[in-house]
Amino acid sequence: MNMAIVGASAGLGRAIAEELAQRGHRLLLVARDARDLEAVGRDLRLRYGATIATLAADLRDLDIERFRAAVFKNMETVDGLFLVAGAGDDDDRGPLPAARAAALMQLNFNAPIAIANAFCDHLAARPKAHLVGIGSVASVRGRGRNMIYGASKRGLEFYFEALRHRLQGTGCKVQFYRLGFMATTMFKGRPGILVAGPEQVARRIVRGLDGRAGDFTLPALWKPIALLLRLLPYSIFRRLDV
Amino acid sequence: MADRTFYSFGFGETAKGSLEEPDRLRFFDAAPPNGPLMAGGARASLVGAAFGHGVRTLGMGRFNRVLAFDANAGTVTVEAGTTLAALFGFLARNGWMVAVQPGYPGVTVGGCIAGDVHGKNQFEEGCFGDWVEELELWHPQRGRVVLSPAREPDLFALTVGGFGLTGVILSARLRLTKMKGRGVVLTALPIGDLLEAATVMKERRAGADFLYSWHDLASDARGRGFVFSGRITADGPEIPARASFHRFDQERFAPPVSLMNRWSLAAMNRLYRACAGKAGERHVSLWKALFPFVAIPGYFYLYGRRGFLEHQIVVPEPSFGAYAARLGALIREHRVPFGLAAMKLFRGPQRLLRFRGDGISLAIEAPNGPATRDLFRAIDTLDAELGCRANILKDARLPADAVARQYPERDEFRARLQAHDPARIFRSALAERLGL
Repeated sequence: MNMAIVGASAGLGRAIAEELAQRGHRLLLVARDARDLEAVGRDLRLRYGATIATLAADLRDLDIERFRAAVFKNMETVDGLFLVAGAGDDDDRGPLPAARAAALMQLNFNAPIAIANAFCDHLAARPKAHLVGIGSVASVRGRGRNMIYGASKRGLEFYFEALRHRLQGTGCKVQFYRLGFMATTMFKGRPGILVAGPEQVARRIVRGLDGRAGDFTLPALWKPIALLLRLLPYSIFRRLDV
Repeated sequence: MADRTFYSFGFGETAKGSLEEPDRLRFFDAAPPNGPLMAGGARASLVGAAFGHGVRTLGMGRFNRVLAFDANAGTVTVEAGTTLAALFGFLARNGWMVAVQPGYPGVTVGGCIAGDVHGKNQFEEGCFGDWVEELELWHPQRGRVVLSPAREPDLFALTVGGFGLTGVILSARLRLTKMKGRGVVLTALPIGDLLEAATVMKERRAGADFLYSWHDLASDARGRGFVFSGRITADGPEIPARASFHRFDQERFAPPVSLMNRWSLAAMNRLYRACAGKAGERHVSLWKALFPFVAIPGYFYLYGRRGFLEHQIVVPEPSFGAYAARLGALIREHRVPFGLAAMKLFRGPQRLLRFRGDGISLAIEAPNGPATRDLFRAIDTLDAELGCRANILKDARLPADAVARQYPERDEFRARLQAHDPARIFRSALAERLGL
């Protein structure tokens, strides 16, 4: 199948690309820096004999019509779209300078929705297609950290639920993953039992392509934590230092 | 970027610094903020080479991509964070392998170059640096530069075996060797002492793909044991693309006290001697023969949080008899319990701070503590008297004066480093200890 991965140069996106390459899919890797894409592309071609195209695009400055045309220049059809790119900001715990606040919303909300919106008719018309979005456990409950990031991811989750509703009955399966801590550059803490490797998460997501549509929490260890956080009355939640 | 305490493998050296693990090439576009830096690979070195006091360690593990492969010429270009394990799986399918492979597959290509490490047949295959055709180095003041024996040969020579002090190795092109097969026939020849092992190894040199000895110094100072000589054979188990193995991790649990003492080490050594003795000739997979540490992932952690110390030297051949005798006397005098002891044949001219030379290499390992430190200090003196050279990358306690005495080009190394990087941006606990 033809799979496009947005945010494929590092972390989870690169790990998903590797899983898909191993399974023999044709890939279009999208990320900001052509040099990173070039390295990932060479690696996957050499190690898995995969067919790989790359597209350098900056989501902070996204011209969606040009983007859509560039994707179709590389692939005549798209059977899978993985919207993995996202970013946090260490100071996202209070008022941010307007430009940085806008960048967070752009990367985590506006851009993925613009891309999903631009491709959903094409995906729905395919006999079999996948649309995968990435969220975060940071959006389960509003708190004084990752404020705009969490709000954007919550909004994205809402949009993916709406898309799933809209695209049911078509060949396109919509899946959304709320992820716990992952050992990527976005995570600044120490490794521990709650921190998963991106390879491990990528394997679950790619295996999940054969599963049902819906939203999921990964790794599974985070499911009860997310549930507990959601059910906690605010009077108790506000006292927690999470 | 998180502050943390780093430990060398074996807990012999420690320092407080910070760790950052970039994953995009643009990280190297802009010079990072002031402060000392050091690249880290697997961070599995026995010495504090990948970290230092107040040093920002740049973990290179995410730069682990295969960039080019030439099946006709037998070369591969990889990013520095690529592990030997990953490379082994990739190359095996294409009929090639890396010529020099140390015993732990988790180490990275960048680390192998910076340490100019050796494998199980140094006499035949040389050291890792001999197989590097070209490398890319990053230094905040110089940006990214390509080095080879022809392009900036001085900086290339300083970087191979330069302990990461010249900058961050980003990628390298390696010359490969044809993979002769997937299995190894390993023959164990019993020997009575260190001297006999040296003689047997010289006799067995021709045609051996692997050649090393193992000695039981825990039972007595003679060093009874075996010479292992291995030949690669065509038949062997299928090599997986991605081999799984236990990673050395200094943050994992290690018992607070050492379980390795005189009695347990002697018992373990005796048991190993009995098992190896029975086997005679064994067929093992190439993977297991290359990376024996994979079979015993927990072994080194039995030393507990105090860990162990290792000392390895190249003894010039004419002095080996005298060295073995005097080492035996020191061992009897100091009553230190020993873990592993092993020998290999070495050859090649020694330059700068690289662990090379003509002679016989001997490595010993013992629990860290005052008794072992006293013994190793006495061995430093013995080394200097008999013209031996200690491996800087193995001994976490090796003092600066020992290195100054044993490495004639030590001052030249330092002067050339100073000329290349007057601000001395790249630092480590190792460099600090040795006054480099």
